[in-house]
Amino acid sequence: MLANLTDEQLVELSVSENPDAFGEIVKRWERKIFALCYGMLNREDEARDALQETFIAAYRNLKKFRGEAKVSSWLHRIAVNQCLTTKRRTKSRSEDFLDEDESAEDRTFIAPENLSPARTTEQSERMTLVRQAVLALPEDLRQIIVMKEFEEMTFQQISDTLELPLSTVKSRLYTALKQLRMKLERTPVEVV
Amino acid sequence: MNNNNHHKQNCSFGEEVVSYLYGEISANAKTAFENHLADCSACTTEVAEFSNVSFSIGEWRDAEFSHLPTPVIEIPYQTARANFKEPEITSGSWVSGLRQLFSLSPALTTASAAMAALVLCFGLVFVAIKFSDKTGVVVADNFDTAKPAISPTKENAISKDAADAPPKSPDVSNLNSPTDSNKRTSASGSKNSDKSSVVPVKSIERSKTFRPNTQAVSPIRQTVPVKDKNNLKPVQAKKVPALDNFEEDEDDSLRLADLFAEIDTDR
Repeated sequence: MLANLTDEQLVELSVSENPDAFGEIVKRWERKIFALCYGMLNREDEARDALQETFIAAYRNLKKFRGEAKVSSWLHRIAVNQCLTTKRRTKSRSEDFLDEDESAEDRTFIAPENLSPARTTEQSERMTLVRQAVLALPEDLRQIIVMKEFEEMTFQQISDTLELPLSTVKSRLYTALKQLRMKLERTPVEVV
Repeated sequence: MNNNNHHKQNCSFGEEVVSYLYGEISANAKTAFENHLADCSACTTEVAEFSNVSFSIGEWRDAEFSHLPTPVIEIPYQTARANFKEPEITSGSWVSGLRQLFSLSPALTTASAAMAALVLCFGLVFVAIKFSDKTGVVVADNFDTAKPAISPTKENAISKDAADAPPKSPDVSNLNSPTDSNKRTSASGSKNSDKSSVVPVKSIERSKTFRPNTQAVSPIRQTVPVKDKNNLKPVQAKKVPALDNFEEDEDDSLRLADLFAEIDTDR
């Protein structure tokens, strides 16, 4: 029954003390929000925490949801803010202890089974380059790249979520792709 | 590439490149852009390179993210409901929470210290005023006959000997200022006491204070009605305000007048 309701109806139900309704919202959006968090933070543990905090914060603020925006946009905004908070915290922590990218460098790359060892190595290197290039993007550009590539959101959805004009979203995506292209060109990968 | 970039600067299809790349373009716009691509090598190259970047990001996503299981979300419904005041973004670390608990802003600390110092100063001033009130230092002032009233000075100046005198025959001379009471005390001492011409200081110090209830007495500046004009002058006296209405409150404190009396006696 809950599956047939819209997000906005589920929020209304949740406000009237029906936790199952909010559980349905979680079920619908957790994967996409997890993708966003992972794309923004590039660490699984931090992405998990950010995901958890996002839904807890959403639940706590359900009464403040006025219905002016879509529930999905509202959730994405909370998630983006949560990721930015996590990044600031991680940055200040890493300044004290260790380099932020150290753990990213040591990440294991799970390659498809049908790839040869040489191909696997090459693809692993390429993944590292792409990851570094995306992480090096300015925050406003990276948000849009992650929403587009990881979550496969439409321009309109990104525009609603970030409360930006559609043309701004497109121009930022264009700029982001341009910068990524330049960064990946500087370190060409030999294609087998 | 330089030619492409130069050519691209004159090209106005920037937004259409990304719209076309992600398939979010209307049919008419798509047809128009594809016609443009046939003539514009810069846009064609850009679309191809952007497509390659997008593919690389997709690969990265598939390789590193797609296999990750979706975490189980646990919403502490009761706790979350009970704490609606909390802002959207919350800290996940208990260490940071503990740090926030014990951290005070410097401005708040300074303000608290200033307030404490102020309160301490006020307290000290209040105690000093109260202490000076209890000591009952009496200062003689100018004579003012226009305002006859019962002076609090008189009350303070009454010696124990006078206080011990029979009530039916009060010695009016005792109802005077401490300055005059010095002389008067010496005189009355010679009259009343045959034992010694020196007035014991102790007896002066231990004076009694009593105040008539029937008349509102201003404790600041009062004059004493003079009955014995030969010996006594009306004196206007100043006294620190008394907060009470007590009668026959014994005052054991030392007075300047008593000290003068002692000096005079020594001479």
